[in-house]
Amino acid sequence: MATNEAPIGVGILSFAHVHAPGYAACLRRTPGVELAAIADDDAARGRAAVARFGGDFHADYRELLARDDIAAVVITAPNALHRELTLAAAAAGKHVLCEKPLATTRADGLAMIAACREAGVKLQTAFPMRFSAPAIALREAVRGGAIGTPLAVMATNPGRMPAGWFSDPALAGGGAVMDHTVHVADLLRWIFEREITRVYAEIDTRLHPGIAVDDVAMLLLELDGGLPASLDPSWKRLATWPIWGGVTLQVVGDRGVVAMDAFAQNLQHFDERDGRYTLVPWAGGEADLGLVGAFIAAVRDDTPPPVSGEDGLRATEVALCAYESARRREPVACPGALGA
Amino acid sequence: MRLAIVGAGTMGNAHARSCANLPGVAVTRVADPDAARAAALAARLGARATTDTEEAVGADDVDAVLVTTPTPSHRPVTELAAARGKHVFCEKPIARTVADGEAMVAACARAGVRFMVGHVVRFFPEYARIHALLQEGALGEIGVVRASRVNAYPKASRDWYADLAASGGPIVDMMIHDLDTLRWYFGEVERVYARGLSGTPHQPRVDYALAIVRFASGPIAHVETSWAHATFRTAIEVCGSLGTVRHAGEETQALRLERTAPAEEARAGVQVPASPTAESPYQTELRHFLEGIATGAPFLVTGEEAVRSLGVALAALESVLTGRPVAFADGRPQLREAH
Repeated sequence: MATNEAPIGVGILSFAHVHAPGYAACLRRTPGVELAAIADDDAARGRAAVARFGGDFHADYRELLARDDIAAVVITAPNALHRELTLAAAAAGKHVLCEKPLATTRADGLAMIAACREAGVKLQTAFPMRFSAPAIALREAVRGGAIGTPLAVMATNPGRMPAGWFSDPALAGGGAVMDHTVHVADLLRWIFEREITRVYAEIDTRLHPGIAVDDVAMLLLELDGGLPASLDPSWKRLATWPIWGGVTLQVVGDRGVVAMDAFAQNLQHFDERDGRYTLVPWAGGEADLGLVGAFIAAVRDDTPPPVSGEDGLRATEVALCAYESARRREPVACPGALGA
Repeated sequence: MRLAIVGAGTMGNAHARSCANLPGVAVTRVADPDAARAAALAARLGARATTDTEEAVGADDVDAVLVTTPTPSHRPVTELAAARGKHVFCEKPIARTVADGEAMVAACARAGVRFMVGHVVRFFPEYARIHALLQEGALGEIGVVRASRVNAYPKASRDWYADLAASGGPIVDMMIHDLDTLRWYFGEVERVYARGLSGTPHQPRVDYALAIVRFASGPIAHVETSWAHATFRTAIEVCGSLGTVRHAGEETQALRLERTAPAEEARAGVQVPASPTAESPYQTELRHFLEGIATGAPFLVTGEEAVRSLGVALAALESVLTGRPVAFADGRPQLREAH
């Protein structure tokens, strides 16, 4: 970047999502970026965010989008609001980095992609796992033939049940399946460069009685050409589990097996002060930083973002098909089962 | 108690070691179509060797028969033993088909002999401890379960293991361990969907399966079974509303041996159990069988139980072969084909 180039002004639309602080910190660390403003309909949350990360606070996101010094926005609002905010950002000519899942319905995702294309702005889906060092190494091992021909995949993306709107079906569009299917769905499409064509799922609410969304599930997917892949997206990690959750992916080939645990790089901390045992990551920060850096580079260089809106939609379709499969109690074609 | 061992292969030898450690047990007969193999095992036990199964199970100095032959001959050997009034311990899987398994149960009932099937995982202390925790309600409502059992492709008797019609592949031969254990934990199955390599061109060199098992009582289980890895290991994780328990075999290995000797010399050394316990689970299992005969106490794994677990395995195999989920009614799979 030329030193005389003005920094790219970025705004964050809502701190409702738990990933917002991480992205804000990454924006602060990315050269050539100015975190100019944060909008939040929760004024206390928004003011706390600007106090911590800088920029101006706007109670109304439309004020933020009206600013000339902002070229791009990061959308970390509840899932169901992604469409409204993305369409407004596109209409204002702002590039969009949207938190996953891209949308809660296929129609919303299609509308977001169309709006950004027509407005000539970038739309990138926030899939940081593509920038995780273990995931990149796994992809290189598989694509380099380390295990021969891939024959089957077993993946997990367990986590804790997030607080607040994540268990409100109107805002989240679903529970664990909506929240935790898309990361692995995207990893599979990225590693194997094939679409997910069939989806089977068993889904239920069993660990957190009384919540209105699902918290446990098992998925068995099929990639184009017949490659099977299982996925456990459950919110099954309780408060006593020593870390938030994780992402694992094992590929069985005809000449070997390669297994990734993307969040295995931890210290074991036995803390006598509060009587707790926790796992303390000593690596992994590169994923969010890589995601944000790639978005900024696409905006600055006017190149296609490395993770597109279409990528976000494809992964969302897998989650939506999982719900459809569980309803029908049989495997469904993806995305055909979702209708036109 | 005087025993005949029919089948002097891996499991016949494993049970022979337990017999040698248990008081009041004598192996009097060993039968195997391979005369040399029968003679070698019989010599170690002070038993008489034969290639004639009928001669061994019919002998007057035999009270009970251990059936450790390949799966397809479990039924004829069991029926022969029952007809001669001998109690039967049969290795898992009980049979290759539900019809065969039911016939074995009926034959033993008709003859009035006791019948137990060797689902040994129920006797592994880590799996038994999980069962006890579940019985206590220590984990609350169970949500999801992951069970895994991976191994290298069985090489010793490669031909019969690779023959899907004979062995059922890793699903009927190995996944059945976890399917039976999960049935013990959670009761009857409602639905099974599975994908894998059985029935594909890869099967003779590498086999692997992933199954999702829905239990009528609610839990959702994921079961991985592999003949595509390099070493044997097992794992299980049970996630409830009040707690999580997990066992990972590679983390509980109490003894680890690394030898710097050349590979061939190292391999020729004594087999060292990776997780030695005061009594091996196989010996606990056999002791349970012998004590059950002596006291009349019910067996932990009856023939009926083993038939139900076989039904789940056959449902998983059918699902792999057809790409369709298999539904259950009253614990029995609604199979399209007679397996």
